[in-house]
Amino acid sequence: MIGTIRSAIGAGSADYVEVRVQESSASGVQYTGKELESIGRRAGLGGSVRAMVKGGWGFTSFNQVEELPRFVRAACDQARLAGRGFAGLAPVDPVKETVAAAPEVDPRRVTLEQKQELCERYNKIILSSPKIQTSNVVYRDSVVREYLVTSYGTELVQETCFAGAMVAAVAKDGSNVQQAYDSVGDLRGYQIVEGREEVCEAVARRAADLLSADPPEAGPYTVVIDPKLCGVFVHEAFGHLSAADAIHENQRLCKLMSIGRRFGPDTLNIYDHPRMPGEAGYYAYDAEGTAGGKTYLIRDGVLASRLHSRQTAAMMNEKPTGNARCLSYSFAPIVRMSNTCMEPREHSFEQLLDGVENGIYAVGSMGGQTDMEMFTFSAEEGYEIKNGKLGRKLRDVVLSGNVFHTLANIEMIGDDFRIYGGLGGCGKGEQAPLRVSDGGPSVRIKNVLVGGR
Amino acid sequence: MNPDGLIDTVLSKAGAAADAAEVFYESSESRPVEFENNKLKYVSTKSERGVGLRVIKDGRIGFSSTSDFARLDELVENALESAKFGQQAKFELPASCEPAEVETYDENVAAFTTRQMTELGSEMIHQVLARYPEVQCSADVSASVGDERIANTNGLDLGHRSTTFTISVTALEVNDDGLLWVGDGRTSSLLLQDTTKITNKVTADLDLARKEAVVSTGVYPAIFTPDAMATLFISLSEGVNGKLVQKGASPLAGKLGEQILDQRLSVFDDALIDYAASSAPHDTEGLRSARTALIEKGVLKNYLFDLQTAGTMDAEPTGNGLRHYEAQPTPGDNNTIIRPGETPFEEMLSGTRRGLLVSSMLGGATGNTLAGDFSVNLELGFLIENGALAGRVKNCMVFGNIYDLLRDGIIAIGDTPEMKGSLSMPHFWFKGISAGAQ
Repeated sequence: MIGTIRSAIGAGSADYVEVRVQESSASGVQYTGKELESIGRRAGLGGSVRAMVKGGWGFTSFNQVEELPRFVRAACDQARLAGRGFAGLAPVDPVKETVAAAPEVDPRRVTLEQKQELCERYNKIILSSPKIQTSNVVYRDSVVREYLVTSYGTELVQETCFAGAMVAAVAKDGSNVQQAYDSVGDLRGYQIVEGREEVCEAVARRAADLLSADPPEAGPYTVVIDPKLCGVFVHEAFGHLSAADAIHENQRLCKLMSIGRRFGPDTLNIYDHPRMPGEAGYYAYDAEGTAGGKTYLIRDGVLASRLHSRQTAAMMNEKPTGNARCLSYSFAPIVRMSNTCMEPREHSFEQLLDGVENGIYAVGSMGGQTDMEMFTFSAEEGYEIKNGKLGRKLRDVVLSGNVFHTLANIEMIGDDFRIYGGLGGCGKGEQAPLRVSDGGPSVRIKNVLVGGR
Repeated sequence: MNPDGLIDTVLSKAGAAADAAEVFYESSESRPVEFENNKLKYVSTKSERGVGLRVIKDGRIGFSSTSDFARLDELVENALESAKFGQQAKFELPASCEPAEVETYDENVAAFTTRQMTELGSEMIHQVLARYPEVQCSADVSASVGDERIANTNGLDLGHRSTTFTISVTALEVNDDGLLWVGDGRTSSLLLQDTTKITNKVTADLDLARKEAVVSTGVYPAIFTPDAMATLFISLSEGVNGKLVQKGASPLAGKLGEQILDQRLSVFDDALIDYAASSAPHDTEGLRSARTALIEKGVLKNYLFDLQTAGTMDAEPTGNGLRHYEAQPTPGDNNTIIRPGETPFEEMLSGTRRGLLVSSMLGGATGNTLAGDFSVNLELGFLIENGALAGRVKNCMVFGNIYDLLRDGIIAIGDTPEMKGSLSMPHFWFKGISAGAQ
């Protein structure tokens, strides 16, 4: 395949040409309520060509891989339509390497029947729990072999093997409907989806308990967020704004985001790191063939660096960080996060609660959204904190902040670091869900706006 | 392999091994051009196709899909393997269909050149920059042609071609206190060349946001724009989804015929509007498309079904089986039409002494949408004072329950619906919305 692609690249001429071909196979099982909604395997084959002329890009994506030279020519022609500016791409060393997937238990060696039995078992646990109306149990795996050849001499074969499972419970009492879920998913192998019976019981219990919980009273609170919500907080509150493509051509935004600007306390460190083996956001080389590495976005509370593709790095005269990613061959690479984490510090959970007179402990995540400045992140459940002690349970705990203020309101960072992947992922433009992991410890933040009901 | 040959091959192989088989073939060519930071950045062509195979064997449903047409034997084997575990089929594949008459194809979209698209994008950006030279714009213009084929072993063989044209522009304004994004766009089967409506909306929002205003925590009368209402209507779309009704997860389950919302409210699912983004002569299972009343004068009239869900519920299918080739059909919305009221926006505004105008929201999909609860950040919202807009409100959350609001909270419904994409929505004026502020 590499040889075929290499010769096809010669079919067009541009300042830069990049060809990607992906072969994939996937399997999945989904139970919703009593019914097995879907089960089976599927296959895929597709490719894309990206060409750059004078800073403008042409892009073609296709399934007819046998017609590759035609798509190379078309991408080059389209790039000429777009190109009228600066042609720079930050230099990276060409690589010729094969990166094999390394799952402990390869999901391709597990039969469809075993996957179905696993999901059925989890589904039964949830459905047989009190007050549960319906369920959702999803298993998914996918193996992707990606060939990447660039006109700079990079020839990469990278294989990834993802497996994950999500279990959700819906509890209902009249028109009161409450949900809880748990999701695992990363590159470690099939074993991570096994042995989750207790998790299923806990999910069903959480959903049922939420039926009798009250929403909080709206207003600003001191909140303690758990490691899972902290990961989402880091991702939404800061990660998206640290992507250089958002700011590189905007002088005012560059000024707001100048390296060295203080965002949080001295104790705050945030990084992105693709090469965390097994994590959902793992990759050795990004979609342009740049080696992934650890990038501190915030170090000792100040802006330390940002996430780059080769083009944004060249335009800002910084080093590429290996963060150009695409959801699949259908999409051109854009700057994305990988595994994004807040580093833990020394405080115990009890210390985080201590001294909080009237606060909220927010646990788990229903997701988040940002417009780069303001952001929301939703907890799965919450608890009142009264005089340093956890009190009654709360539902509909949605937190909201502003990147230029909220990070500075971090009062204490815990010692209980955890990182989470899952079946979901990150969205940017049309490209969602992209596999990522988010991580952090429990954190105490003052003056966070919480919505109510 | 051309689609005819492929469909014949797959149907005959699968038909020989199963009781019934159905092929869904999809291909599309879309040509997006993208502008970033006021400049043309990407010119793309996406030519993609794939095939999904559904079989019924020993009464059970099996499914697989592929975009690798060299592996069709594997496609058939995978679908048959899946049928060993699959659900009991509660339907029969339709043997024929008389497609509804609705226009979904505009040859002007297919013929619109990439150069013309880049000119349209430049035009939108220039229109915004002419008023606001300091902002940075991104713009997307995309023309695509899609083909669908559905054929099954009961004799059905349907083909359908449609065009989709999308234009949008977003402006980013940056000042020392933060960022402001405003954008607008349209999607249709028709070629859209009038950009002024879109760019006027963007510059009007930039005008309005120049001044900032502060609100305190409390309950305010509020006007929701069609864009903001679209976010809240996610809940209603889930509520009438036959699948969620069948599972008992929808809060609307068991309420057919009940007065659940304000009697001024009527909502339709309509696939028969010429050139609307989600119109089609038939659904993706080969059922004739329809116009279905969901809510009429506040009374819940229908849920939306695909074949299997309707069969499971012993209900009439509504022609709402939707899918891409990679997945089995599932109940989905076509165009959602909210019947307008009689009140002009200006009257809502002038009738508000102190309240909020909610234009767009952040975090709408992350709450408990199934229950209708929302708790969102005002991405773009304004304070209304004495009948006029007094400034942009930031760092403020609004929250409530959409079912409660639409039942007891409506002051008036706007008289001018906006059709964007597949949703036709007027303004809504509510008595009281809870807001939380710093």
